[in-house]
Amino acid sequence: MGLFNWGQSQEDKQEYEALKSELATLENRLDTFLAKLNERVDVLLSGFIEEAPAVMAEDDRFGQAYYRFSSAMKGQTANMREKLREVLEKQIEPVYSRYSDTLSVGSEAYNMLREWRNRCADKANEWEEQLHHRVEETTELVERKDYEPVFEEMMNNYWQQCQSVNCRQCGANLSIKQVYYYSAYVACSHCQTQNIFEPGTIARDIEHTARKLAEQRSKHFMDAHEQRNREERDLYQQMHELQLTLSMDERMSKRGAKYEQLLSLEAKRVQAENEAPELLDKYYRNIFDELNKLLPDLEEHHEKFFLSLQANYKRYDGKRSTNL
Amino acid sequence: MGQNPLFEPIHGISLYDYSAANAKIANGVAVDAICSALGVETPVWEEASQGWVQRMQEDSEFIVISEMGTLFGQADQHPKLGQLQPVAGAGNAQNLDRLANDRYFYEELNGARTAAYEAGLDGARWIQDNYGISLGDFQQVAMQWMEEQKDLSSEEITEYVDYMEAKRQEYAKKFAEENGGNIADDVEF
Repeated sequence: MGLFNWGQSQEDKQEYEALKSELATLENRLDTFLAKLNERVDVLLSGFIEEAPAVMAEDDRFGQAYYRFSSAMKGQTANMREKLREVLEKQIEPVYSRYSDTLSVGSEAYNMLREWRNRCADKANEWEEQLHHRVEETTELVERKDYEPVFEEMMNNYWQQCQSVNCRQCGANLSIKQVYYYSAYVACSHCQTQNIFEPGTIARDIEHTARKLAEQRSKHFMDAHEQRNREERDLYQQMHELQLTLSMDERMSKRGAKYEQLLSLEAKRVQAENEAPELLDKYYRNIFDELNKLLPDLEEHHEKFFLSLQANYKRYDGKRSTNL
Repeated sequence: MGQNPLFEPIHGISLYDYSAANAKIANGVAVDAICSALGVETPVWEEASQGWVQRMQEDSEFIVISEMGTLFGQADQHPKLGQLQPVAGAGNAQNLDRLANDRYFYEELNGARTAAYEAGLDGARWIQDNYGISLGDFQQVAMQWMEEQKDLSSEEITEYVDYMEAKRQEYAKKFAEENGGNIADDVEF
């Protein structure tokens, strides 16, 4: 059969055109399918943005209702991903397998088939990446909160509550001057009776909120760290593309305009690679400096916690080897 | 473990006390009952709890949290806390026994729980309502299976992971039907 031997007969050309048309039809259907999924993603995410504030406003202190709400949104996106994977598995791959088994490797038709399959897979991957990005962005938008006033109000409430705590024995005010994050013994300065002071749920959330606020105040370091990582990856990619264009002579002699350009890119890349971990270190150090300012009584613990965290993230410090 | 200062008891509360107490609390046992069984007042228990949380945060090797996981699974053997039950009484003993002895049943409920959360339900509540197994009991059994997993071959682990995923999909379909379907059900290729 001509299709598989790829002669130049009229029949071969017709079969080639038929295959081309079949692949184009399937690719168009995939495009339409992805566009329809995108419409549903729009509906899902706009609904999420609209309803989330009400869910959060009614939520308990652990945020369980919002957790369920956002899990449901993510569950719907997971379902769409599964649908797309099923389409690739049942509509695209079988067509590829059917023809790739019979076409001659390297033939025009075979190359067309392979490129078609790669294009379809790339479209699916790109759609998934976009979806992931949109979900992250939407979640960040919904969860964004200014912790400055939240923390201030929390502390005001705590100190106000402390003013009205009296000794169970003599009734004198206990004049609480420190932050108790959980129930604690407090001695009465008048009669020396040991009282159990129960600071309530506000105090139990102080540490968590202080951490959120410290992270918020340190975010610029994290943004800069991520920016440097992106720059490093981008420069590495540029170097890789440039390396592919080097002649054998340039490669061997390590000279020439392109090689100079490569070295310049490498210098910038190394700088970004060195700065990224330094900025991460500044981010965590700043968090704990802020925490020390917000909750000075926990400074000793903060320092130990910082060292523990630092030991962990430094474990994953790695440098690329470019061998120029 | 005895030599490591990270494992020193805090106000007389050992890591085993702390881990078993948390397993019991997750099962609905009141903090007052825990304190009473341990013979301490609430402030002592709370300061010790805070201390154990701080120890875990300060432990860059994660040995405290890892040991806590093991001890959490041994809560019922704890000499002082083992017999404590929530006021509402023990859950469904038959299902709990099956959960601890039938790995496939455990994986099924794991898959169902994930699917329930993805459907906007409270997965832990769903297991409690349908099988009478509390979150605390479930987590205790989970620790037991995690311990046993160390001795499994990669093929066996894959078998269980695949089984759980198949069950997750099965329950996801069920929950979606109950909720009137998924948002993209009518989008066809």
